[in-house]
Amino acid sequence: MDYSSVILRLLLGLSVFSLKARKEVYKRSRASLMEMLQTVEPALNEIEVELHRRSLEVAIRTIEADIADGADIRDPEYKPTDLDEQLGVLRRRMGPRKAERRGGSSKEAADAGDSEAVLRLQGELRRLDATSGLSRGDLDRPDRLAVLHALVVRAVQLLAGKGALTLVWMVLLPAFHTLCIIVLYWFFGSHSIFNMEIAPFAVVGTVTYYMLRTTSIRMGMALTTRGDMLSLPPVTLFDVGVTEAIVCFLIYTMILCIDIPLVWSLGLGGFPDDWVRFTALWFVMWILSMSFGFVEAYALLHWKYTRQVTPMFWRVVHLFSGVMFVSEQFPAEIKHYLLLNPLMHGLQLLRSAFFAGYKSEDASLPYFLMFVTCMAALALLCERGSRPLVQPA
Amino acid sequence: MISFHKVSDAYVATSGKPLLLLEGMSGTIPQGRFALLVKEPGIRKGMVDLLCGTRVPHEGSIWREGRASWPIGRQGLMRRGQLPGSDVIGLVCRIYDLDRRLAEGLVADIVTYPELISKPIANWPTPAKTEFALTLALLPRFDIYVTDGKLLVSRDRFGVIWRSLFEERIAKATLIVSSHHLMPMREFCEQALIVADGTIEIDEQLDDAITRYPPRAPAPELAEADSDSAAEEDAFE
Repeated sequence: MDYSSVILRLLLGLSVFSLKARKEVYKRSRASLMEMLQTVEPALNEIEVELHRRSLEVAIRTIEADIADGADIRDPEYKPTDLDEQLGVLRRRMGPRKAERRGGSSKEAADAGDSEAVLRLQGELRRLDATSGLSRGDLDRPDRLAVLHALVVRAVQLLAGKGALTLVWMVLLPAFHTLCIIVLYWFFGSHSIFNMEIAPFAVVGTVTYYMLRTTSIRMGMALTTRGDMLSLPPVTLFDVGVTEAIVCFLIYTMILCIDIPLVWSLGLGGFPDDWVRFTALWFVMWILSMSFGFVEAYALLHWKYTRQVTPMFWRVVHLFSGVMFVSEQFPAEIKHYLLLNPLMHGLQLLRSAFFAGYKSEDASLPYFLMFVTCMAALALLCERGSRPLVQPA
Repeated sequence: MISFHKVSDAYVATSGKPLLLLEGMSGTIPQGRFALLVKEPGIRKGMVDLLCGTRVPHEGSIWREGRASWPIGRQGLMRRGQLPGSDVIGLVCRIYDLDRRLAEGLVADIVTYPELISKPIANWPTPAKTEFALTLALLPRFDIYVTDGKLLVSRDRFGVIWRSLFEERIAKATLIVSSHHLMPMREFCEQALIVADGTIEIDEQLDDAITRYPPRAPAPELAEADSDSAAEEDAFE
């Protein structure tokens, strides 16, 4: 089926030989051909219809390629380049299958009736569309939970792909730190601080500190250097940050769930006294760590030395936020300054919830919550400010 | 349809040269098939990102009627090569709420190397990555398709199947083709979307527009700003 002569005749009749005019001709030709093919008696099968449709497309494509190469199609001697050869290839492809397709894995299968494959796959695509739960009305507002779920699963897959050593190290680092604190106190002959056993005291302090630090640093890195996920339109910078925070939350909650029973099994301490309060404060600490992450990302984007300063900042936090002590251990003059740090309040409130025998007199819940709220608001502003500066990969 | 409301955006190329994308642009891109032509080749990638919604403009807002695709032809999704292809399909299915089993079967039927899908992408040959990236874009149905790269020219089994399925996908959608090659523009587009001096203009005379703003690769000093798509286009050769 050589449609080139018909197409050429139509093109020669054009008063304006522009691409737009030519496209209009092609559009009308396609529509006319399809109408004729669908109404012809006896009816053609799908393969025959496809063969005619493709023959027309081959003719159009060949003529357009020749025009682009500068050929004069008005020349009476003009013949579309290699058209016969291309139509021959098409006929061989659309004809009876000469060879079995080798499991769809060979390029040579192109010559073995791929039109059947196209028709079948078009049906499969329509089936796939039908399974999609997204209705047209949802398209502008994708399901944020679905996006977060997808990103978290991917982050966990990536983490698992790094090997067991990474996960073991993440568990061992707070454990080692905890051990240092226990040895330090035992060295000075202390086995408890204000009715708190040293081991769970250290576990609560170090695991919380590591969650704060790791979440903040990992979020800062993810938000500023990993634009790969931002190349998917429903994914926002906020999603990328929250995903990293969720992964850190899962890791450090798991570490806490390993360390506390371990300490109990060794006879060095017990379980939280007030589970509900402890869990709520642990969650608030995570919100705080996520807020630090967004602020750090903003700082990284605006000040190139942030990466150097961040470790120093967290070292200071480690020393002055009650990871290793509580404010009640200090005289009033020093305590006054230490308690300006909201993290000190947070950690002491967490320990108050854990230990039945310790109720912090210095820690203020409203002061701590006020700080967390302000940090969360600042984080949202920073996220908004970072958006135009972080681009997809 | 894509509507712009007082959109201003710019970025600084690695050479330090400031590149203006849009300045106070307001207007609408109607449904149609457009070739994206730019006066300054270095802004091509940024414009594609703005149109897809993967780039947030410094000022103003962009509203899209329906769902926009990711920049088809780029391999951003597969950057973290330690994941197997099946996990990437899973990610797309979770985000776009598609049946994963069906999607995996479909991808395996389309690509030339289905046996690689369960292996980490980092170990795949470049043609396999290219095929996989293009096939992923067929899975969700979009209302706005934006391509960034030279679309397939090969006439092998994958090329024939992908082209047929892509043509069906774009039948009722808006298509914006960005490339520094002419062929995909001539094949798929009817109008030109010209981005010059901070504004967008629609030219119905595609031939004339191509003559005025011929697609070309960014200059070397801007190469990094556009390296992603340029490198990926070469992979299609």
